[in-house]
Amino acid sequence: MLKVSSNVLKRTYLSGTVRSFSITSTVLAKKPAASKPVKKKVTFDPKKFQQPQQKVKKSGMTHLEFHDAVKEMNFDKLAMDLTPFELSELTSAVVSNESGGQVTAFSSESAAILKTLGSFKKYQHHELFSKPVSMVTHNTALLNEQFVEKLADASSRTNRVCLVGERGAGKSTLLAQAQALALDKYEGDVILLHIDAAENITDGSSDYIYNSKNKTYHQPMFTKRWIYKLRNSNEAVFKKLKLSRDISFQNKRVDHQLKKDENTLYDFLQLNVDFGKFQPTHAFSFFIEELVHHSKSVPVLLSVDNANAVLDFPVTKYRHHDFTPVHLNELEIGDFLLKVAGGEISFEKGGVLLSKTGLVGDHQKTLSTALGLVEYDPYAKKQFFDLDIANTLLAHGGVKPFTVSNLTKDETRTLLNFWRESGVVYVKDYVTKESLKPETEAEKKAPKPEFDSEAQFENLVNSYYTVSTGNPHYLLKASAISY
Amino acid sequence: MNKDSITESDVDEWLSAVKNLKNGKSMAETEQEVYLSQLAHPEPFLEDKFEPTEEQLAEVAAYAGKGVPLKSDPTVDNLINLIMRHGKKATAQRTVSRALYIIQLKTRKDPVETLKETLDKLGPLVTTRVVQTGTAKNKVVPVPLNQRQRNRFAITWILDGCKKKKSPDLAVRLAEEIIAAYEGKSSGYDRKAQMHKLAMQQRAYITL
Repeated sequence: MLKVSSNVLKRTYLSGTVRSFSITSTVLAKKPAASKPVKKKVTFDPKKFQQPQQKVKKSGMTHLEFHDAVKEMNFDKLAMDLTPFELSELTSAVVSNESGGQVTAFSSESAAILKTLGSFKKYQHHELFSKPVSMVTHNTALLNEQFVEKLADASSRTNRVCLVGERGAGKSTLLAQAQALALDKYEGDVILLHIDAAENITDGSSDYIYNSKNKTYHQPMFTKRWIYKLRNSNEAVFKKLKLSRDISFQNKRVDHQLKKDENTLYDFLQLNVDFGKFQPTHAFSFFIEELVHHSKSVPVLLSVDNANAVLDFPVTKYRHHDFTPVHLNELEIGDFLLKVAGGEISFEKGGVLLSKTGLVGDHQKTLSTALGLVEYDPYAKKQFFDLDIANTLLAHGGVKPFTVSNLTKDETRTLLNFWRESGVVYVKDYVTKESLKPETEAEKKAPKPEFDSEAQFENLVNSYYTVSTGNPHYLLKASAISY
Repeated sequence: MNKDSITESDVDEWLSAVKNLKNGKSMAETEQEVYLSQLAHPEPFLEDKFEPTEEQLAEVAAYAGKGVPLKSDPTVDNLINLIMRHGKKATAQRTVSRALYIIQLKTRKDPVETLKETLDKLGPLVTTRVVQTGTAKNKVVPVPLNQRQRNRFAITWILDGCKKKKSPDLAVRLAEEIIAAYEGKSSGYDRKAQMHKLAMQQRAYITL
């Protein structure tokens, strides 16, 4: 008897190489039922119907819209060199001798600092010139006397000013001038805390996290960026200021222990990354406490541009966990601003310089009432008037309004003359119907009257001054951006 | 003022002051008084007589041979009107002003002159028109263009060229295209050459 192991049988059957003993079973076996075709689900495949897209290569210098394009395309490098003009630098001496306006340049050091801080703004048309320039006007002289001169003598509680004035009057420019003057007067030994667009605090553009200890919301992204700006622009001062107490923190799993009187404020800002961490930290409050401590020796200037965008609209775009909106004073930065603007936090030497913007609604009454420009209306609706913020600003003697007035006619003439010489404004003869007609032979031969460019310039000064009422924004618009 | 220290002279002074006031005030001092006095005696303002001052006469003499200044440049107006859609002229003006501002920033020359120069370079001199002869074959006749027609062709080609630019802002695209045309890089030059070529081919039909 042939002994075949079951394993071998299995293998041979499966492989089919060995003939089987009987084929009857397989012959008689029914055909296996044909498997039913499975109905495939008809689904829409967008890839099948997609037209092959032809990528159109678009040429052009930029993908930006007008305001961004003008700022980003480095047009200032194509501008006329201002060296032959021998512009004097913006200093206290120049400001005190001001009469009829004087166009000045920012010193290279202060220009670099102001650029880092964001003091030169998008709509100020700095692209027209090869370096930032500004005109010293009667407003500059007045603000220098009333605010900048007092920085080292008064505490920030008693030295609080808000720039008000119509749109385009030069409030942001004046703010930059005040910063440059402060840098000049104290030879760089001044701490500049500048917020160039206050609406960025409340517009919901940052992440935010609740800190249950001090009951405020941190905005890591905003705070980190702001601290970065402050660190770079105040580098020289911060490197001189030693810490007043020890602090330890972790950065990239490395423990840092900064010693009192040994490490500087700059070290702290450079090594500490807690400002940008998505967790409650006390880094910002430590930084502010250090600033308050050092304000005995170094003046601190807090300047906030577009301040009314947050003070008049204190209900932010951020939400609590129950979806009710977060108020300005519940944000860490907003709370700091209100405390300094209200005088609760006071720098021993220093000042607070707020500036309104004409770009947000003027129907809000909080800031105007706090400044005493509008009478207090007890029936005002809450959406238009925040009594708490008005009271905060009025505390400790209140914030003083500083009205930025338009240019005088002499200042207008000085400014237009500078624009003419630097190739911004063109003085040419009027176009008339007659001047457009082709000249006849007789006209070609006839002597032409000489074009008096000075008289025409005077005409333009009168015309533009009337159109703009001396407002620098409308003056530039009328003379260089209207055709 | 203390009652006891009032003297007779004080009383006399007051009484004379009251008398003066009763007579009326002859000189207007404040703005309100000037306004009221003018309102009370409006005769000089109602006279339909105008006497120019010497300064005004001198100014008139200085502008003797000159025409009335136009409000704006006609070439720029032409461009504005061709850009305008749905009668929104202010929007078109803003677009053109911004475009010219960018041109000024880029070229550092008078932008209106740059625009005129560009249009002059780009505008065709001649076009062709089909004239029906009434028989089987129509004639294609070259026709010269006047300044305004030349500008119109050039502006239309510039606006066509704008569509190929990246920026979402028409002002920026327009500026880029005008600058390109000024530098001789616009696609409009091909169309101009094509137009001139066709006119040259049909030069036999020119009627003088």
